Amino acid sequence: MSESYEVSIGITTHMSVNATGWIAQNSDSLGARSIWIGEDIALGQEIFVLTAATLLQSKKVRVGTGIIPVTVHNIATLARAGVTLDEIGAGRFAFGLGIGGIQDLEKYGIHIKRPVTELRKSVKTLRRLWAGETLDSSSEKFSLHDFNLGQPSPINIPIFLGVRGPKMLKLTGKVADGVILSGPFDYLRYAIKLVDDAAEEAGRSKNDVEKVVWVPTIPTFKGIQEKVARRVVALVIADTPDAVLDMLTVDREKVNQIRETVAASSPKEGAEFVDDELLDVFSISGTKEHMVDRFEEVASIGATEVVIGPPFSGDWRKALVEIFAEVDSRRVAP
Amino acid sequence: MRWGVALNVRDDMSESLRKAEIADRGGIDNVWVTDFPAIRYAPVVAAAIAERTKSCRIGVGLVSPLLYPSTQIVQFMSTLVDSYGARFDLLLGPGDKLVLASIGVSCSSKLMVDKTTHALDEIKQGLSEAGHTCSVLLGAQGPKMIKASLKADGVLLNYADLEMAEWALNQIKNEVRAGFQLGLFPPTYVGDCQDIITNQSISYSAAMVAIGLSRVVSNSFGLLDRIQAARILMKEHGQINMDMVNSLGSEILQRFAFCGTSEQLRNYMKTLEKIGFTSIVFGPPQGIRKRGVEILVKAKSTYGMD
Repeated sequence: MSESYEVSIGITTHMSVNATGWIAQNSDSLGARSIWIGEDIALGQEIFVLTAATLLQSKKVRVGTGIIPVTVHNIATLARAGVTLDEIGAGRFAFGLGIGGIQDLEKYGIHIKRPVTELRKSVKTLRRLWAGETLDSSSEKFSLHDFNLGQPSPINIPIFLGVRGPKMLKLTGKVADGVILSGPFDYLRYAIKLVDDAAEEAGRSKNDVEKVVWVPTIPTFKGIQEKVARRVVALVIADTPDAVLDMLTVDREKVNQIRETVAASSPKEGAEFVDDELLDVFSISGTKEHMVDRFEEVASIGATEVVIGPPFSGDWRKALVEIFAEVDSRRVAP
Repeated sequence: MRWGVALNVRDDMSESLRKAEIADRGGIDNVWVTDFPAIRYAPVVAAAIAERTKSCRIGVGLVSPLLYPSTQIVQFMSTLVDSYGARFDLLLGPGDKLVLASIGVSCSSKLMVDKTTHALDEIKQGLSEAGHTCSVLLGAQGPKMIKASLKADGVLLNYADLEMAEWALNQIKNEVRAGFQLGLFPPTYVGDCQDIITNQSISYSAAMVAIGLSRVVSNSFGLLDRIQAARILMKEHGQINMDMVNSLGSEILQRFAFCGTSEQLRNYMKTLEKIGFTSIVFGPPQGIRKRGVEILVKAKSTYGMD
């Protein structure tokens, strides 16, 4: 019997309506704790409408954004969308926020001098608006003047932060309801400890901060093509900060080659340089038994929730059913 | 003539859904969901309404392209259509300068118009490339926006007064192509309306439109001086109040709202049809109350029977 943990599904705005709709409609019967929705900036479905549709097509599962970059939306839009989704979800909505991936921010010409301050201010501002306050507040990216939401009563929306670096992790431990982490195992161990320590320093319990681990999960036992997996891993490597890479014993030269190739052309070209070792370090792949073994490893270092997918390829629907069944079978085993 | 109703910007989700269901079952053609300064994010409300209604079209807007990039507007309209079918329309307009400034969106009036017309092109193109046919309408009042609407699929004119509405229509009437939607979006109160000033909800809505009237139009109708005092008060206070309503007086306010009985509404609609309008969206405060939506449903069910 493993450490207690939940299993969830991760989707992105770049997926088709058919795929995201299937996941929403089947999430409850699969036994998923949450559906986390990542925003691929300006690509595919619109994040808030997709989140609404996912809430409307499911009954029990928690639906969270995972994440929305605060740097690409007006803070008033984030606050208003939060109120609207909270009403639709009746307590099932969680707001996952972050600064945004390095590659994305560069691609869209978004520059932020003090990302930790920006995220801290954004979280504080959203909570104050949802509490019913009228605000005059500003940051690098937003400016509010005598603005309020006109809420008759305060609302409490859980905020999860998708973060990487040490300062961001500490901020999360201090202020967030949860953290969404991605990265290699050694990094995850370090990050969870940092979040827990920061929570306790701030007078909170480490259990006050949920730890959601979302790494690419690639069920190769159901026909997923490895080239898809390698492409995803190339993108993850390109978005991984140096501080995280420094913790790993991977071939740094190869890693740099991948990052340069992704930046210069695309993840598809970068995938050419992703070998089996890197695939294993940056993703959870293989048979359902092996994948669930890895989930349990991640849970053993303090993760409270593990997210499956994307990439969704091959016979991913059957793969999902079988992975959830495998998790379930281990829970009921003596 | 297509009938639409704008839901209340302060409604919570359950109230919006209840009213949308009444409108849908009662045969109202369009339910409109206003975006900012409404507290709820309109595309999400539109998704929830689509889940709960069957026949009505769902309008998203007014949406300001100053608040959202064109790509996001194309994305939310496309996602709505892909998820719930081709039932959605979009209303674009610059929005209220003062309320946009409160969330850090500021630019000159000229730039607001330029950005909106530029966004109209981008959004039309984006939706077309995505293979979607939802109508993109422009909310307009001044001559520049009215002219710019010719590039859209239709226009909703922010007028109530028949003389002004006809004047606005005449700006483009000879240039519109087949299928172009010519509509009005006036503040509306169907009921007892002996004295507009004593009915705060309609008088405030009418005053907002009057104060926002462009100088060119104010001048054309000899209203510039009569509105000026209310404009100065608005600059001082930042939001509408009874001083502004009193300053405008009932004669002016009556020109910026439809305020009358069901019988008067019937006559009003018939005149609009004669002038050439093809649609109307009954603006606030009509959609504030559930009863207001029910009154419209009843009025529509008997319209055209005589």
